Amino acid sequence: MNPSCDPLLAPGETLHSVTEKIGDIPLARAPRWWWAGLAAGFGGAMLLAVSVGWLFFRGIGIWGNNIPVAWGFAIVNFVWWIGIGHAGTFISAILLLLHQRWRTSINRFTEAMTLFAVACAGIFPLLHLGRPQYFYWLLPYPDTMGLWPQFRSPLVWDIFAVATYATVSLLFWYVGLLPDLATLRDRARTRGAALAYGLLALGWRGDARHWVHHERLYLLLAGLATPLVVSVHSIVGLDFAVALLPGWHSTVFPPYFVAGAIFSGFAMVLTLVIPLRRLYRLEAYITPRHLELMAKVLLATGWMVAYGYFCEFFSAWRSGDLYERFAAANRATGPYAWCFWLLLAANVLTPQLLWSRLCRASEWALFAIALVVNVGMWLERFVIVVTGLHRDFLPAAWGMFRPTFWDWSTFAGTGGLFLALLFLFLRFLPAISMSEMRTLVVQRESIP
Amino acid sequence: MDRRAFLQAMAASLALAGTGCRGRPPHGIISRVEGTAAVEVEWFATVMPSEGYGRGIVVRTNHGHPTKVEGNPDHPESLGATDVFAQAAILSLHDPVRSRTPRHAGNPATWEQFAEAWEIRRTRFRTNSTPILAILAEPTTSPTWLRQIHALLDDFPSARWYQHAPLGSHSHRGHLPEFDLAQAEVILTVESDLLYRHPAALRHGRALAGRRLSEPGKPLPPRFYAIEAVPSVTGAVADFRLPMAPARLSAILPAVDRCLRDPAAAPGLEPAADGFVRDLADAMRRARGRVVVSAGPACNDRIRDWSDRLNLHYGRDVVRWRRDVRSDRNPRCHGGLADLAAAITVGEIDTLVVCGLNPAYAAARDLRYGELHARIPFTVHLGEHWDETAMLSTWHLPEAHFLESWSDLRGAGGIASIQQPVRLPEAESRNAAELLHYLRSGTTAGSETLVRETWRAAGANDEDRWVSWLQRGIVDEPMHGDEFVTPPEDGTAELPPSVGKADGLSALFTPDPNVLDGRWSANAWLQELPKPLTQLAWGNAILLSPALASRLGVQNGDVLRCSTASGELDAPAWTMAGQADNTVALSLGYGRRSAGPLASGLGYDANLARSAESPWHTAVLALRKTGGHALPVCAQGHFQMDGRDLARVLEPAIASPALAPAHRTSLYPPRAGGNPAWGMSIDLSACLGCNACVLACQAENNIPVVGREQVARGREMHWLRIDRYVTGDPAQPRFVAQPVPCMHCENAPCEVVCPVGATVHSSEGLNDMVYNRCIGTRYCSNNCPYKVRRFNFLDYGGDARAAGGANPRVTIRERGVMEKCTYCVQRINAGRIAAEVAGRPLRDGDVRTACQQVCPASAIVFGNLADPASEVSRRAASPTSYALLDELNTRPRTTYRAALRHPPRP
Amino acid sequence: MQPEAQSQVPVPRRSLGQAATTALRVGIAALVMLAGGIAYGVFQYFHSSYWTRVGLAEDQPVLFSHRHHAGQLRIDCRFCHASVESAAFAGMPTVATCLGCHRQVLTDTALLAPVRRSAELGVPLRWTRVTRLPDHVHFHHGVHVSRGVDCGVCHGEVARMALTAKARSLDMRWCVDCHREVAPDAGGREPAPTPTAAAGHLTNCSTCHY
Repeated sequence: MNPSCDPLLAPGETLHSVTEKIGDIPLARAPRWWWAGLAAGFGGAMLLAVSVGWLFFRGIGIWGNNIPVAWGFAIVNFVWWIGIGHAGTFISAILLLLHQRWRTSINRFTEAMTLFAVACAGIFPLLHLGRPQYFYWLLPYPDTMGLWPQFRSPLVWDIFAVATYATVSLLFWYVGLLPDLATLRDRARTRGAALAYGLLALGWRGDARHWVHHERLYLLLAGLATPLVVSVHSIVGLDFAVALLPGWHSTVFPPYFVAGAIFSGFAMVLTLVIPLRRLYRLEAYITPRHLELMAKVLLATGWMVAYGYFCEFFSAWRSGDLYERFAAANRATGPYAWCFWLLLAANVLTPQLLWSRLCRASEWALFAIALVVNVGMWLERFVIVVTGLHRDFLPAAWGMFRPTFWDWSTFAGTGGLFLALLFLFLRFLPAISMSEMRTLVVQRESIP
Repeated sequence: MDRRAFLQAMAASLALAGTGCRGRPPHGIISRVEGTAAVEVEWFATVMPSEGYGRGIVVRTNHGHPTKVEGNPDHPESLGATDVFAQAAILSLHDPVRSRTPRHAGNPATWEQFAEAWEIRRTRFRTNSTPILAILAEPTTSPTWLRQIHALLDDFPSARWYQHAPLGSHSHRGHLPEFDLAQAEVILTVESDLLYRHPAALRHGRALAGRRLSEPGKPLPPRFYAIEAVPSVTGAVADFRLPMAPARLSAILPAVDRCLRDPAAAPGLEPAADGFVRDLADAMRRARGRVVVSAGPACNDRIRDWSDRLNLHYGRDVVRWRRDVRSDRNPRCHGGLADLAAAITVGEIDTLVVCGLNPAYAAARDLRYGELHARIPFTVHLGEHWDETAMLSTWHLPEAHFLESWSDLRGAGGIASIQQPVRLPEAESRNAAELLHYLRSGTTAGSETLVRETWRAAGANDEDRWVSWLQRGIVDEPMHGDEFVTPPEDGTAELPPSVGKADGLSALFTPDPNVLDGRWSANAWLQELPKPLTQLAWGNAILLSPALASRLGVQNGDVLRCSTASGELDAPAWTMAGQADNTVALSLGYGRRSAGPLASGLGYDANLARSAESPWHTAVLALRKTGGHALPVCAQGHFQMDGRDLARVLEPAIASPALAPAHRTSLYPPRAGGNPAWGMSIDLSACLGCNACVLACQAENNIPVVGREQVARGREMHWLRIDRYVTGDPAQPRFVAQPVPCMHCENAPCEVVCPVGATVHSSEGLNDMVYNRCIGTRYCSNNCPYKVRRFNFLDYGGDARAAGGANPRVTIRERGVMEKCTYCVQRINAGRIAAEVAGRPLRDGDVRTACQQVCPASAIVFGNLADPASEVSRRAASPTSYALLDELNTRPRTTYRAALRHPPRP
Repeated sequence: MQPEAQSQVPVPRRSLGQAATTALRVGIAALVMLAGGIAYGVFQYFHSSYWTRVGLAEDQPVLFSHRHHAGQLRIDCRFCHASVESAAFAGMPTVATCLGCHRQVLTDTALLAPVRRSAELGVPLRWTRVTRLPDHVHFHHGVHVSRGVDCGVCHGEVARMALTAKARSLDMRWCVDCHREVAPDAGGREPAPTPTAAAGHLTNCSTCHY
């Protein structure tokens, strides 16, 4: 059947069944696969701990970074994670303002994903410092040296952008959670659970006054969050655009970074949602219609990213600048050309499969495509950072970047941390907003 | 109170003075028992041995610690400049693995025990004429040492003196041609590294640079021709360079001579050479009387006779033959290493004393010296290191470093200097003269007494005179007048049979530019210093021409097996543009078995394939790939300029104003230049690419050594690097060397991106790097178009802290901070403070950077751009001056002047 | 709709009431105040003499009194700190200098025993440093004195100190404030105009850090 006219909510769902199905996940005992997942994530997090420990003990030198390639995996991973952290707020805030009802069943989950991705991203700028113990010099505070941060540096803008984004996303997510926390509190089977959820629920008792305040605050936060979706990755893009390196010094970066962010964000959402709706039997709420819509977003943003790539080459050629042209050529033919072509295949060719309804309808296809795009987006950042740096103006100073074991372990480690947080979230909080689903039920019932 | 206690005492006060750079000093501040207030900086004039010849240097001590070597401006062989080795010497002085205790059969022993062992033999040598006592040493110019050896030969009827010069000799038939490059119009070098490895190299460099420094209205610089198989520092700066295999070399000079006699005559060589020779002959004919021809140590006697002859006829005004002051041809010398080997084989030698040499490693392996050495009943080795020869010797005795003992040396020009110690030896060690004196007399005399004894006649007893010698670093003795000779004309005989088949593959043995024959192996600075032209570090490779490489299908790093009549060796290949086809170059000084933890096992040992009778080149029997791969560590990424206008080369005739940087418009207001406005001008046509500036910078600024693996990762720390570009046909290319320090851009891209303001602009135009504010984002390095910034990826500074000799006026950088060239800001501050305390303004030349001070070619000039009269302003104003990557509008304070090279005649 | 679904809606259990809410709000307020308090505490600590050592006399091997020597006896600073006008390091008196006087006066007080012992044994006398700058600061006494900066500006009223103590925090802001105004009234003396250049370089980082 045609998924595009699927309902957003399976027939036969009632206010009660919604609460039952979703609310029971945190309250019931954890299934076996959950423990497996958590263990995997926890293992990864431990790997991260070891890597970071060794990093602090020995110094940045345990990575492959060098001169000229002074930025390596740390920055690549940072940009990649931050990108992933965009889908959440985009879905929750922008789609909310646009009255896209299909967001309701996935927003809670994607917001959580956003927070964890931002958490992983946030680690890297700190780790990649030569002297992380002095990270607080990046913050303006009255010190005994009479010095302030150097506000012309995009890295300082980063601090503010990312910190604001993290805070607002957290608030937005938490405010959305309040009614559900109250529900859980009321349905809790043990005194402990009731107490915990009760504390988090901030005394929500669901009376009209609460709802009015809640709705208003939620809209306000949505309004606040919307510009942030654009600002954060624009500023991350400026880290590169502001530099004078051929291949970096280009105005296309901010917009195409944002597009890329949403692209990778939706890819990650799909990668996670598709297995989870099966495991938790949530097909009733996350319907083929949702997957279909997300697939379309993926296709659209994919094209924006492709346009970005094109622009880079076009402006390099159009500039007529010797170094810009060389940088572009070096991407396509230099020692790292294979990364470049791989990323084109992953980010430009693969999404084209989504033109076909069959692909959009098939979970497996979608899952595979999403995975490929995730890899492709990581490669994109690698190409930008490493090929941008390894051959710049003076040929004598050219070099190569070879990642070490610790580069990989740190990256894998953050993946583990992300998983661990995600599984804890699935275990203890409702993965789908019950309150908002109830409104869907009501709306449907109100339709004759 | 003795000097050492004094040093200990001062260590603490360093910290109080705010200059504590050796980590945390002992907490506390010292009242010494007596003495006067410490002098922060003292200078001592002394002299450094270089293959037996002396070069005047002055040593800086901070609070009594020797920290830096500079050239002695009063010394004619230095003229204020030094070579890389003089810069590296300070590190050797502080080298912890230097031998500190005598060893008997490898076990630590004492000098007293050696005394006992020796006393028995000494009495025997005094009386009997057998068995034979042999002394093996490198030829030297030291009057004191020669006095000792003569005395010993007088006293011991059985004693023999053998000499071995592992690096060959520039003198020929007992005379050393002395060139006046400042007057020469045509210079021809044949396998001769006139500007880098020659007893008068520094003098030559200064003179040539003087001619090449582009000044409006100056006569054109001399036409410089070089014929050599492997590109050398000298060949690389020549106007015309002809790559030629050694086998064909003997034919060249006669051909030149033919063309000189008869312009129409055909040289009768391969086409490339023909053109070269015609052009050369033509130039020589025009410049008759002002032609310099130099044939290097690797040339056979015939070639050198020919060069003498050409000099005689065409170099009248610019060449003199000085009686060599080195003892190569000393009548009392019994022979060379080969003779010694022969004597050992027949069992004549009962006792052998090796002074400073390491023949067990450095001798051609077909001599089997090691086995012979071990055969001798009683062997004594005096050396600074526990090396291969020491291991084979009955006794090893620690030799005093030349900065720790008294001696005397003569420069190539014959001028004598007293070598005085700049600190007490850390361990009981003696120098060669002391040892000889002891071996003979059985009594110990301090090296100072011996030296004074030597110079008593010249007036060493007169204390004032003595002190003035020490202060100036030169002995004022009357010249005898018989310094100069005229060589007999016997170079015109028929050509000798050429070594090896002319068309066959021949192997050249070249002393490594950094560690020579291995005598500098233990020096970390020289190991990490990228070698001139190849830019290889921490090892050696088999160099071959691109053509040969492609014929053999060899990539850089492929392991080759090279076998000659004497033996075979495996080593990685490295293609060298401009190398003569059909030659492979094997560099000496690597593959050491006992050279301390640093150098043991690095690279391959070329001596394995070397033969004693023809030590510099031999025929290659087979050269094939083993299938192995071991990429040598190279510090430079890419050797072509790829159409970028980086290191400019011009014809001397042209001084085109078009090159002057167009004034760029900018949205930003121009920066106030400040006064003084510090700036630097680097003249590429003077620059020899000799690397002295790189090591001077390393020594002055406590730049750490990072080791082979880190260099391979691209993390070398040199603040000043020399980029080397190869242009034109790879078979006969042109080389350009471009020193690249921090440009101190007025619009510095690094400054805007630092989030904490750790790199900021000073009021005088310096691009300050504030280590203690840096948090290590490395963004500045990304944004530096010149990539001159260096990062402490690991705790590199730790070693520098541990080792002595760090410059207390420069902070040792912590792990995780960025660093770069500061224009020697510590010198700027010292100069300003001195001026302010004296209440006078800063004058041009008050502040000289380390690289500027050491440069033999005075290619680097630093000073105040706001003062139009300053030298740097004058140079920066010249039409050939340009800014690197000017199109980026970074407005560098460091500018370059294009290299001037004669174009080939049409 | 399934009617049975309607029927089995459970009665909500007793939820946490208003009290819990209030407790929570109070808790949150407390947390915020605690955080602020800690921040304030940290700030104060680094400005207190516990951290800066200002006004705290160090233990010394000899109970030397500047008040007596510099104050009552009016011995010039330079008599003991000889290189203060020319060198980076102000210089410490040698034991011989001490004994120069103390061979005549107070020749056998227990107070001076360490000094005499050091002279006998030839072991340097080790004082505890009172004024200490970090290794990355390059300070030069000579240039400050020659510019007319009085010792007291940094070292305080040494002539009044029975036991010598640090007089200023010497943190960077303190140094820079002085450098910014080129110290016109430092020690009440008018500094000679710097002969080398405008005093602009005084606020460059590389004036002290290199």
